[in-house]
Formats: sequence, structure tokens, C-alpha cells
Amino acid sequence: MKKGFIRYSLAMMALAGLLSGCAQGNGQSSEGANNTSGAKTEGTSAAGGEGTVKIAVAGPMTGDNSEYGIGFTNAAKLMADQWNAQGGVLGKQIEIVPYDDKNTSEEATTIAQKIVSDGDISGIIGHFSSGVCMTAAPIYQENKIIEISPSASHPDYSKIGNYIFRNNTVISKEGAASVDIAVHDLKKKNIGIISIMTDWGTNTSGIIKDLITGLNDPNVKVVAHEEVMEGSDDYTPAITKLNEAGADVVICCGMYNLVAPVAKQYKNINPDISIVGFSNAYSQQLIQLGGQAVEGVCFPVIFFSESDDADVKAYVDEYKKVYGNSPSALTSQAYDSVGILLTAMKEAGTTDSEKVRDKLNEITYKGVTGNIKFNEQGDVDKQFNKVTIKDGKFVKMN
Amino acid sequence: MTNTRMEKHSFLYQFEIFISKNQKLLLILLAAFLCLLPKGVNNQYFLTVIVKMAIYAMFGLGLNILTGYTGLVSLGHAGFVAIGAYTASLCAVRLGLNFFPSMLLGMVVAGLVGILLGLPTLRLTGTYLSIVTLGFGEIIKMIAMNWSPVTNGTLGVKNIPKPAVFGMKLTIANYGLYYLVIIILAVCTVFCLVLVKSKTGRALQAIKGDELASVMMGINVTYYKILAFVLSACICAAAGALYATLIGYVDPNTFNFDVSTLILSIVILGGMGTIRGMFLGAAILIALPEVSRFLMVYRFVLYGVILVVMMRFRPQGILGWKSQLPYKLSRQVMERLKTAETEEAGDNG
Repeated sequence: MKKGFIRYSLAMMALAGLLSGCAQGNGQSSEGANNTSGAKTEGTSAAGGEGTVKIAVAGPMTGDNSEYGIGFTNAAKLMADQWNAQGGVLGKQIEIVPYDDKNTSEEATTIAQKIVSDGDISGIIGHFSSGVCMTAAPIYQENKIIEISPSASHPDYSKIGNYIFRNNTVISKEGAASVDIAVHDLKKKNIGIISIMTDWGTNTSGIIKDLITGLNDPNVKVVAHEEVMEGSDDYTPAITKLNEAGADVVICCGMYNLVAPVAKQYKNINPDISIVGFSNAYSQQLIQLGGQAVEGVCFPVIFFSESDDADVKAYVDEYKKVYGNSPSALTSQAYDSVGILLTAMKEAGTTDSEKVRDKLNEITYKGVTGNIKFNEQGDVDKQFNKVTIKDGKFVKMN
Repeated sequence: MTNTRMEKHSFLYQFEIFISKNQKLLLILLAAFLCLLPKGVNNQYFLTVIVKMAIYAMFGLGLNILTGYTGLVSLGHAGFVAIGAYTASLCAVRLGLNFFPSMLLGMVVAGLVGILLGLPTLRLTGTYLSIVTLGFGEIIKMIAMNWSPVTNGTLGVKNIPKPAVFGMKLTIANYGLYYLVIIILAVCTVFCLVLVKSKTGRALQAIKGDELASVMMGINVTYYKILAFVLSACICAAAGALYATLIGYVDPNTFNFDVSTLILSIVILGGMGTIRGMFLGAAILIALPEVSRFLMVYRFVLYGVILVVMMRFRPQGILGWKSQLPYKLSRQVMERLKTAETEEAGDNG
């Protein structure tokens, strides 16, 4: 009895400690929020006094898409370190604050509320998928905080407001590039589509279909479209259907974890099939997973790490030196997003959101993923490189 | 010294006596605290977390009717949450209905589905039932994913309007959403308290204790089991509707298996078959990932460790003690008992 009581009271004490600790933390942050709202009217943000300029990186740091979130953080830190080495921005050091949203809307909302309430974050790089971005973006817009997503591709995302930017091409542009590869470079007529059942997959496959109808070429047509669950191991049923429909090229609307197994399983059924992917399949993992089967898979990318450009080379070498692997396209877009945000702050001479936003709309930034110039909507337009896999390496298509 | 006398001196006994003596005062204090809380903290993030806790406490209360009181473990309650959230948000977005009728519709649909799920699972107990409910959760997710004309498929439902009362929008910023959630939570809690004390509640607890014995006592097990499914579904659907309007966006992946396990964890951690436990369970399991945000990738490891430690030392849940006070029968029952006694005495005389 006595033992039980001691155990019980210990548990309660631990709990009380936990709760009071939590309450304290929140109390402090609420003070912070009050301070900023007071200071905002004076034109400079609270971060203007002393200390650091804080930039948040929000993305999936754990779970299925953790590769992207961690890549964003790594890239952002690399860019911040380079600026810090030269004295930071506005005379202050830059601090990257990572937030894990697990790529869920629920977490993203909470994080957005936290960032807004804390009030010391000068800009957000992130949220990974379009759906998650579009849940968080209204909160940032409402509170006038700049969000630059390195990965959102849904057309509606940047329409949410004038503080919402993306450093990624809209999916219709990328889709056009993929269709271009299939129809003009590979000269195929019967197109099969295999897409993952996520908002991105559904949206992308719809756009591809529209694009092909828009070609107005009676010979080119979509022969079949199959939707599959992301992360299942066996795609053979869908592949068999595509094959029976007579597809000679398959456009894979999915990430590397779809493209690699589909390539493997399709080539067992039809060794002559051509496969076209998207830039989010551009990852070293694709070659590791797919091996021989992904030879000849083509896709459009904005950023190509084997490029001859001196700036890109320097960046890729630096990234490899620090993190041990080469940066992916989206990671590099996160790198550039931090770059353009800091440049805008430097030129505006403040971290005040409104002025930085105006600057962001004005400047053209030369980054490793090409020249970045936001249009009125907050979108960018970039050139695609066409890449294919040859002898276990990514090479540019001719 | 008998065991019962020792119990009387226990901390728990004193505590419960204290609570029941000062019940009214404590309730008023709690209500005042909850009313003043948003003004006191004035922090959107903190309020969002509190609202999330309240919504998860409602999920807990819903599942608790089924798992805690009737002894049927469900691993698919995210399905009911999804039905509530989808029905309410689709009504609001497509038909332009106000939040409250939408929420009611969500509850009705979830209740009907609860009957459908309850019927075939009557013959199942234990693990088998859990597997069926697990499948149910996945089926609902698949329907939401594939029934595109209605649910908008994988693209989900966007821009779910916030509830409005007399033209005033209730948001986190103007504290409206907070008060709404707290009021609905209070209604749910009172409902659960009344339910547990009622004939229905006793029947459910009897079924949990021993199904065969309950049949012998004349309890219609079929009826009460389905009723438990329906009530549980309705509460979860109501909370689901609130959840959808809080987040503003639902898609099939919002209601995956993780949500089902989280709800079950709340019930088990807090204390199965108690109402107080749901609040503590939700508070801990929602606050923990927020408090430990700085741990980044390790924060869900901590979460797991805490669950394991709790299960090792308090398998009945943190607040899962059995009440030390004598069971109080309701006034109605006492009266009926009295009349029965006097009648009996009259018959004898």
C-alpha cells in the first residue's frame, strides 16, 4: 500500500513538473509575442535590437518524406553559414530554426501558430507538400510573415496571398517538360500514366492528361491511367493493365520510391518500355533502389548537380564536404530560397516583413537553380534540364 | 484491521472525499479558470494546443464509452472521426450549411455507420473485434480517397469555414473557437457522466465484466453493444467536425491509423473506464510532442518511452484507480427501491 502511494505521488510530482514547465515556456513566448506586436508599429521587428536573425525551416524531419525536410535544413544551414562567415545580415548572425511538421496539415497548423505567436521569426522556408503548405500559408499571410516554399507546386498555393512565395515551378510547367520528353525526345505515341494516390499525384496526372489532349496530335494519346498506393511493394496489377493497353512509354507521377520499383517490375513484363519521371524522382536513391532497371529513365530537372557551371560545382562540393551526399533539386531550391530572402533583407536594410516582401518582388537573384525572379503572384519560372540515367549515373540528355 | 478500514485512511480516499465535498466550488473555480485562460495567455499557439487537447479529450471520451465501459477495443476510431469531419466540412463547403447543422449531420451519419459496424461485430470479442475495427478505419480512409465526386479524393477538402454564431466568425484569434470547443467538451463530459450513472451505463459495465452473466441478468447485450458503438461514433464525429474546422483542411491521410492509436493511447494512458483520465491522457499526449519540439527527431522516441514506462508502472492508466467511495445510486433508483421495499413490507403484513 505504502509503496503504491509513493509511486503514485512521484508520478504526480513528475507530471506537475512537466505541466508547470510547459506553462512557463508558453508564458515566456507569449511575452515575446506581445513585445513584437508592440514593436512592429515602429517599423522594425523585435529581432532588430540585438541577437540573431531567425529563419525557420519547416518540413518533414521524421517519417516518410524526412529526406526532404532534412535536406532543406542542411541547405539552409549551409547558406546561413556562408553569410555568417561574412558577418551575417544587417550586422547580425543568422540562425536557422528547424521545425518538424511530419508532412501533416495538423502539425503544420500548430507550427504556423507557434511561429506567429513567438514573433521572432523573420521568414519561413518551407513546408514540403502543396497540401500542407496551403494549410499553413493563410496563417502566415494573416500575420504578415514571408513564406517561401522550395517545393510546393500546386497552382493555387501562391494565390493565397502576397507574403506567400514559392521557389519552385508550377506543376503544369514541369508536366509540360515531361510530356515533351515522352513525345518529342523519345518519340512515343501511346502514353500510359501511373500515379500515386496523394494530392500531388492526382493533380499531376490530371495535368498530364490535359497537356496531352492540348497537343492536338491525333496519334498521341493516353492509353491508360492507373492510380496506385504510395509505398506498396507490388505494382504488377497496374503495370499489367498499362501493358495490355499498349503503352510504349509510361509517365510515372511519383517520387523515386515509385519510379524504382515500377521500372523494375515493368521491365520484367516488357523490357522495351520507356519511363519518364519528374524532378522529385531525381535522387541518388533512385539508382540505388532501381539498379539496372532504371537505366534510361528520363526526367526534367531544374537543378543538375553534375552541371559544369562553376557556382553549382562550388556549391555541390561544399554540400558534399559537409553532409556527405550530393544535394537534390528541391534541397538546392531551399538553398536558393534562403539566399534570396537574406539578399532581400540586406537590400531592404531591415527584417520588417512588408519591406522585405517588396524587395523580394523586385530583385533578381542568381542562384544555383538558375535566375530567380518572382512574378506578381510569387511564382518563379525556370529552365528545365533533361536528364537520363546511363551506366548508373545521371547524365544530360542530348 | 480489515482491508476496507485501511482504505479509509488512504490518500486516495481522503482526496475523493475532499473532491466530492467541495464539488461545486471546484467546478466554479475550473469554469472561471477556463473562461479567463485565453485573456491571460493571449497566445494563439498556446490556445491552439489547448483546443487540440480538448478535441482529443472528446475523441477519448467517445472511445472510452466503447473501450473503457463496454470492453470493446476499437483500433479504427479515426474512421468515425473522418466521417464526422468529412460530412460536416462537405456540408459546410458544398451546401453552405452553418457549422452546427453540419456537425449534427456528421453525428447522424457516424451513428448510422456505427450501427452498420456494430451489427456484424457482435459475435466477435477481443483481438478479432480489434482487427475488424482496424479494417473499418482503413475502409473509411479508402472511401475518402476513392470516392472522388463526393470527397474530392486525395485532394481533400480545402477552405473549411470557421463556425459562425449570429454572423460572428469564431476563430482562435477572437477566442470564439476556444469557447465553442470548451462548451461542446463540457456538454460531452456531462453526457458521459450521466450515461455512466444511468441504467445504460451500468448495463455497459456489466457487459464488460461478464457478458454471459449480463445475459443471465436479463440485459439485452445486442442492443447495448450497438448503442455503445453509436454513442461512441457520435461523440467522435462531433469532435471530428470541430477538428476539421480548426485545421481548415481535411484529406484522407489526416485520419490514418496513427490517429486511431493516438486515441486509444489517450484512453489507456489516462485510465480506461474513467472520465477524468481522458483529459489527462489528451493533455499529456498532445502537450508532450509540443514541449519536446526542441528534441527534433527524438521527440517521438521520448513519447514511446513515456508510454512504455507508464504501462510498466501503472498498467491501469495514470488516473485509473477505482473509486474508493461507495457506489451512488441515482435518486430515481433509490425511490423505486424504497417503494419496492414498502410494497414488499405491505404484502407481508
